[in-house]
Amino acid sequence: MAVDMTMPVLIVDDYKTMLRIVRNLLLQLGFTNIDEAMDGNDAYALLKQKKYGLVMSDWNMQPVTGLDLLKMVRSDETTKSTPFIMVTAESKTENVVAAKGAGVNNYIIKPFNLNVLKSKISAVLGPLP
Amino acid sequence: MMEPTHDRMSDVVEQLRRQRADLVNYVRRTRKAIEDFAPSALRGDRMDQAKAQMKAVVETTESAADLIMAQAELCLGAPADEAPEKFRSRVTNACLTIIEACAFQDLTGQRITKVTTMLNLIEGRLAALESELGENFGLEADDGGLSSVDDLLLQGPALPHGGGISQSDVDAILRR
Repeated sequence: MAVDMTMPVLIVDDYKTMLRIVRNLLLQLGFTNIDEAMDGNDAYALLKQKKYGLVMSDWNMQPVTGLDLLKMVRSDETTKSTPFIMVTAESKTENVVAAKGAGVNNYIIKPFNLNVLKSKISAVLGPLP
Repeated sequence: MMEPTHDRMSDVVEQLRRQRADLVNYVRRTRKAIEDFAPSALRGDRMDQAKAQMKAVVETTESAADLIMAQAELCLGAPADEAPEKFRSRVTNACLTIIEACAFQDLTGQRITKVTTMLNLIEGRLAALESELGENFGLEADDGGLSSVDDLLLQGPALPHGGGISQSDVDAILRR
């Protein structure tokens, strides 16, 4: 089934520049409905208000980290099946294993390019148009 | 002839006198080593300067990224029916601005060099302090204020050849 490019996508990062990079790349891929949050708390509040088709979150944020957010999403009945991709500079094996254990759908290491982003989103949602 | 008990007392007193002298010498050496280390000087101006340099690095890079991103958005946002000459001018101006913005690399490089010099100075003084006192001050045991398992997991971007794993390694872990 084709990916609905109008589905709401939530991007979470405490660096405005990074939000801007991801937003621009998502727009380039064809996504049109993109919301932003600058920490895990704000993101979770948005997730409680709207059903998102995809969450792309940084890990290293305060006070609620991306891993915390992932755990909150997975432990909440209304959000637990939301596709979640971690986009982070944390590149230790322990990080990936911890994220996998918490139920992450994919994991992208910064810096990344459009092709990596596209392939990881495709791996989670299906082929993009 | 002295009593055996008196002899033993004299030995103990002599031993205590030597230990006291050793202790006084040790305290003097420690004091001198700490004076040479000059922690107050490091804590003061130099440390403040190092913090300021790093803050400036963050601000400069953010500002440059912002500028570069704005130029890319200007190009991406060009109307589909824009006249070729106007589009060419738009792209040329954006490219020039991006090239200018890339000067941040030189500035941040210089700032980071200053901080590295400061860290080298501290490392040298710590080594001298440790050598003088002949003891390990537990620096390796210091967790740097980390307080939770999550903190321990977070390392930030790996340095080149610094032990981080690649995207393909990540993919392999997720496939397991």
